[in-house]
Amino acid sequence: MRAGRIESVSPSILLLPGKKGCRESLRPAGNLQGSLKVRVVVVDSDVISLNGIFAGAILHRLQIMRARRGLGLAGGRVESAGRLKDMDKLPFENRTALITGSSRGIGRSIALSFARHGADIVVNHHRQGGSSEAGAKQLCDEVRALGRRAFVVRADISVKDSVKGLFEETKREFDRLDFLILNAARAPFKPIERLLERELRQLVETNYLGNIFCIQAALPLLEKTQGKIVFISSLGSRFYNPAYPLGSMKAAMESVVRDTAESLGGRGISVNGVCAGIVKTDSFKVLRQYMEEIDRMPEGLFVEPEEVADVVMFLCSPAGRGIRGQTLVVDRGLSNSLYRSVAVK
Amino acid sequence: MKQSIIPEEKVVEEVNKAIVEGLDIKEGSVAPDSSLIRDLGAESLDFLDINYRLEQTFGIKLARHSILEHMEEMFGEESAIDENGRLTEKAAAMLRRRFGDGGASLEPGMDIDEVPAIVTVRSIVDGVLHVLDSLPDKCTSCGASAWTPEDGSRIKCGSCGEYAVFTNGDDLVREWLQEMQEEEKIF
Repeated sequence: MRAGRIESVSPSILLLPGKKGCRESLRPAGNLQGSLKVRVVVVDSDVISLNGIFAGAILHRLQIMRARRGLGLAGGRVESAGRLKDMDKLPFENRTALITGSSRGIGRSIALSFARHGADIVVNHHRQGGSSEAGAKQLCDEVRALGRRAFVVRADISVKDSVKGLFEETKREFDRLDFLILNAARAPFKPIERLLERELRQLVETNYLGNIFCIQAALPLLEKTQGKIVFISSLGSRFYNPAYPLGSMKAAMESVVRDTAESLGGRGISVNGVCAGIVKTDSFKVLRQYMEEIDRMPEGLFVEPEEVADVVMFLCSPAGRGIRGQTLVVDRGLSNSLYRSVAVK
Repeated sequence: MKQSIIPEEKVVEEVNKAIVEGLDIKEGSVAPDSSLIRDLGAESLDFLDINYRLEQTFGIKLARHSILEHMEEMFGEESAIDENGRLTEKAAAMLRRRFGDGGASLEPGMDIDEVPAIVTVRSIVDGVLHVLDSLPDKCTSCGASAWTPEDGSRIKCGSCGEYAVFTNGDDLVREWLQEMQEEEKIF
């Protein structure tokens, strides 16, 4: 960390990204008011260092103040007790996140989490009408109710022109993109040897080509913001799952994550993945028909969509800046153990 | 054999219940001729959810794959769906035989995304009855002919207590297609 001149501060010190030498002062909110004085010098640094017992509250307050002044917050790191709490509160004010396939399930949860952390949202879905379209509109309303901007783009990521339109509209509406979350997926549940040629092509077009089309189209925007890409994978990428050809595409994309993390890293864009365990989203309705008695799996091993979203937030936050080309597994330990006692809940 | 242990009225009742719960709609809004997609707002995943509920209720396995998928597997790719994603003439003919009056709106050349709209509440009831009718004459565990209903919706052996094992829905669809093809040589 490059630290400039530090003035004051007891018991807390803040180093903030911004114009070198610019002074900021802060009065902590709520019950901290009057109990603590903090003066801050903004330094030419990409790291926030915050020490002290009130670290979380101070950082959060400061982030809000800077966002209100339109300064935004390039990122931060909390070096204190209460680290995880602070991570959870890192805001993304003035940032924009695009989540493919976000009308339901994990994508929806990620979109809401970004919005709660201050980001504006581009909601994407594919199917016209029905619950897909209704879900996308409802999500937009929920994001707006949180005080963020949001709009829906219907686009089929397997079609290059459609992807082009998705990002053109993002540029037109928000003129920036900070986070691209590759969540959309579409696949039949069938053993691979029984897939028709049409189904095989659709499998690859949506779940491999489609994601790469998105990465290619997003590059001009992400380069400007030093943005982040997160791919949503599943355990099918590395373990057998009955009638789940999507797993092979997830494996291919995890390889793309490793590859692009290197090739795009030099352009300031980070790429990572999150591999979700068994999540009770709509697709679980299909999965349970192929995985006999999966309903009897201990409830404690099912992952909530919000748990996946939390790790996406972590990877997109400054706290995740040291992670490149990795796919983090979020499965409550399901894939970690050969043996599990029946007593596990 | 055509089983008579689970009466049709019970199947209708359970199908209505699964649809109401699966689609989260009001009781009484389901009629035998209601199209699940057109009239009740269902999507493809909803079909699976409704099927799952019925499978749990009756202890059966309904078809996982559409009859069009089976046609293509059995009679060749593009035999049922052409390169433009439209229903072929032969597939339309086969579907009309399968769905009777319910398939009257089927036309060659229609977009395959429109085909699932022909599935009605009655079609689901017929699908469940079709699987239940595959009840073997004798218990596969003990050989006894002593089937008895449990809770009105499960069939178990009155001798050894094992639940009945039915043919799964996909196999039955394939059997039906095979028979129809042998009789009428549509493909």
